Amino acid sequence: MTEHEERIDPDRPWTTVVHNDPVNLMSYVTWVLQKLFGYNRDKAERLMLDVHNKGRATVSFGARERMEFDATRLHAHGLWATVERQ
Amino acid sequence: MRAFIREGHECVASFEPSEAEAIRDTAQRIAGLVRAHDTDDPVTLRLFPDAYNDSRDDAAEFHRLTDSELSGTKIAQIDVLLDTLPAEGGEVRLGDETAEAWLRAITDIRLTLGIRLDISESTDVIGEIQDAVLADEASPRAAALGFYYLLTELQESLVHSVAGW
Repeated sequence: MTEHEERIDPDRPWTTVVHNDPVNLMSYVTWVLQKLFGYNRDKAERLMLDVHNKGRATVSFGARERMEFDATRLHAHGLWATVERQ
Repeated sequence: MRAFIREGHECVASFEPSEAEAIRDTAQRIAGLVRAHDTDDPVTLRLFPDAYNDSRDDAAEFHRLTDSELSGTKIAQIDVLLDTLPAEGGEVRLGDETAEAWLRAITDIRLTLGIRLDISESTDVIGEIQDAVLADEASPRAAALGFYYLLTELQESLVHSVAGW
């Protein structure tokens, strides 16, 4: 995909990705995902287990600005998050 | 230390004076690191991660726009911990908002110690403490890992108290 194509497709969703780290507790990561995104405990635990087992999980998607906001909130909670193209 | 339990609307724990002093000292040291924002220190990159893995320009722009506010947030949550943890230890009772600030502050403390102590997925904290103490009763690494482990237990108990699990 070229830069030009990216520019003319502004609605293509972006994603917020949480990456695994060796310090944060599984319980804490679950709680943060529930707290920030309103996910129920089952969904938050599934995402947390993806982070833990696969090294990363997509926790939200949408407009780029919104994903940057989500990344900031995750960073404020000490999670390692990045913004990526879907 | 008596780890956190939920009592009605509060999360309650108690601390020995030495524990309260160690937590306060470490929290103040980390507030100093946050203020200094030394980008050559790996702690800074962990507390203020790159939001873009594939573009240095986008990552730099994100840092430029958000680091200052994030820094203020991190210092404010450490201040909440310092304001509510008496230097002489004893009982601590936290409402939900304060407890959540503690969770975030303890997270930043554990992330910092994790880097300084080179904690990885394969680190067996308890096993390493036992080995280090056997080799040298006064092992500084054992003491540091012991403190890290105390914060881990504290954090685990506080997550469960806040979440009501």
